[in-house]
Amino acid sequence: MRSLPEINSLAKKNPSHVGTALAHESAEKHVSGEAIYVDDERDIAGQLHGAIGRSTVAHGIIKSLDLDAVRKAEGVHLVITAKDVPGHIDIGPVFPGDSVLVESKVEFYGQAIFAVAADSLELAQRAVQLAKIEYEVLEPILNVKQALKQSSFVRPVHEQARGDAVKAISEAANQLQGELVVGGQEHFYLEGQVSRAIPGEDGDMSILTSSQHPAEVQKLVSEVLGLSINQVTVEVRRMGGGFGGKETNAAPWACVAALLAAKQGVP
Amino acid sequence: MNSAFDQIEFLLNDELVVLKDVNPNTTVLSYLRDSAGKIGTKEGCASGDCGACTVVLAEPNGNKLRYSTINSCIAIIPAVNGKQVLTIEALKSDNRLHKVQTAMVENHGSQCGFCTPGFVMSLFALKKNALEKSEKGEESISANMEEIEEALSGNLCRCTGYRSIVDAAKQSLESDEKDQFQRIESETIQRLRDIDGDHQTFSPKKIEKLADLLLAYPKATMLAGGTDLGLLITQNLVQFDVVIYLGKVKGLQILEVAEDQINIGASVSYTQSHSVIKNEYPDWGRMMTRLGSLQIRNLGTIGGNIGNASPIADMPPVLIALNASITLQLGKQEREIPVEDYYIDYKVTCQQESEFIRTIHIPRSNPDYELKIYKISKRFDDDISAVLGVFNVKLVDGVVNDVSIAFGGMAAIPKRAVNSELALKGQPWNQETIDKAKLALGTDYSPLSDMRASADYRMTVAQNLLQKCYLELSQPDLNVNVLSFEAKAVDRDA
Repeated sequence: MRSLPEINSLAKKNPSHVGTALAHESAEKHVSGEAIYVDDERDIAGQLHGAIGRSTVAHGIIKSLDLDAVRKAEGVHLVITAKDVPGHIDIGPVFPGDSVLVESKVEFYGQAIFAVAADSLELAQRAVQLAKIEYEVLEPILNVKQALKQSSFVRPVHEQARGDAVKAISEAANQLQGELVVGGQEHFYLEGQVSRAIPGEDGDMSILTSSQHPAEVQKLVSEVLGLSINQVTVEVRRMGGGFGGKETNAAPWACVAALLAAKQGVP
Repeated sequence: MNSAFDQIEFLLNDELVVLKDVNPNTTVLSYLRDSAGKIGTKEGCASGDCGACTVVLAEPNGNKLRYSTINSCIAIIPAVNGKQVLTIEALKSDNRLHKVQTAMVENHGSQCGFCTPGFVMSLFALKKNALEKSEKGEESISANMEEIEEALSGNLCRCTGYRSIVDAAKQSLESDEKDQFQRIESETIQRLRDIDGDHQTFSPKKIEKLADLLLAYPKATMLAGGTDLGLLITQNLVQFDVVIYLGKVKGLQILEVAEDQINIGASVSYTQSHSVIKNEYPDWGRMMTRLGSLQIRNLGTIGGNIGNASPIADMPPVLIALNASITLQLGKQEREIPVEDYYIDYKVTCQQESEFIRTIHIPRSNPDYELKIYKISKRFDDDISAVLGVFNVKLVDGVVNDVSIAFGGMAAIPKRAVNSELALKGQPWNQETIDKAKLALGTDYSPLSDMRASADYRMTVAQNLLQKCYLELSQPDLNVNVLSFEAKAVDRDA
């Protein structure tokens, strides 16, 4: 520990650094295209590419899942569903409730139902389109008012209050009323969600991902695979943007990559 | 199976690439990243919106090279035939950064860095074009803000913000010292001219050959700019069998201002035709700078915009309102029809098998008429219209002598507002007449609701655009047009 530099040594040595703008440490690599992101890694021999089969309904129960055509499609090596998850299916990062792959009930449009590993991304994406899924379609809840009416809450109701707001407002000289609708949007990061899983010895798994929370990826990957945490190594070199969208939501992709890699024994 | 494109030749940076029996559905980006190992170019949205995949094409233009940016993610490989593709890897020379790269570093133009190679390529093309203008003595090397904004309009950045990137653009335009590309410019031009296209079946040079080829392959897909075709390939996973590239057909490259009309060949890019259109119809010229991004306009063509028959295409309503026509050719037979008659139903046109659009004929501007074009989209730049309204009005002594109105985004095809026109013709140009014409719009169109706009919004905005047209023409001093660059700047500073 004695070799640790003093925090202010830089400023002391060269006071002119204080208040001066320094170039980003990766700036020269950014502008020359030399900075390496996950998708820029060269393929390892035998590496397969994954694609995810998603729900085409917003709310429903899967009645039948016919993936024969997907399995027989050109270049496909492996198809997995929730049944192929050796460990936990629930990968809810803070509270339970997020399945890595849907077991029976679809809760939003585009939810992951199955995953394919094929020789190329394009072949995997083509194969995904061949799935035949029948749903018992349930009515989706698409706005807050409808959810309130049906008492459909993501979490138990949490109330934060001070004083008696109803009374104060009713006694106020002026009252205004109106409605505010916040149009939520998905975070827009230029680099999409991406992960590579490389199986190692003793069932170990090494993950290269674009995540704002590598420790959580490590925990969740070890849980879905039924491994101890120390068997999973997670590396994040850099991200092409995250903005919170890769805080918890980078993990499902890493988990699916790990499930495919573990089952097939190749990256 | 795909019938392969027999041969494609191009320069990738300074290396000659000859690809034989290529799948014509390969995007330039996937070729660069997966086959050529050029991983500096990034894939962001894979749909031609974000610009992370921007590369630069260089083509001979007289004794100079013309540099233009494209979205490599939706450009398919036949579109680079006979051209030079410049990627981010080519910019460093002798292990030193190019001026535009240095400017980005020094102005802190990158944070996560993923969009950066695309921005750098856009800045590079801006600088090359500014240099050429200054050599020609047209203007000094420094580009104005309008040019900088246009050059960057097709690149999105989330982290850094654009100010530092604009600063980098300004700095990079300060010097006019030669770079490695200028030093070997004439050699590059010669190498590109040496690429012999005669044995490239699917990239004909002569119009007769194209006509024959289409007779032999009536189901062939014609590729002009490919900015829509590319999307079908990357987003809908469509594969085309036979692709015929139109970009080398000389007869489709005409761009002439004749006495009574402007003739534009079907494979002339938006960027090229813009130089003529902006002088003839300033409002149309301004609208074109908001069509897609610069990368899209460098590839895309008016011919393709007509032929693709999208109900939200921006060119057809203008062409319809101006009574423009097109020449179609089938074998040796040619026929000329009004653009309006080309459209039959959603994505259905009167174009027959083996027939192709040869030339677009646009009447010269008539000083008696006022042309007003309004594009309504969620973003100002680089976005698809929810509604596009075009009004071509002739007023004589306060009375509507003639008017044609056409809208995009209001019906299954680009369509004229016949009833609204009737309500206006021969009537005094006043609020009462406009109110009647607004009501008539309700009988002209029953628009759809989709992700871009609801049916109600579309109708309301169409009626309001007619109101806006009325206000602009009756009170010329009223500033209700935010299209001009000055208005844009004020808006942003506020």
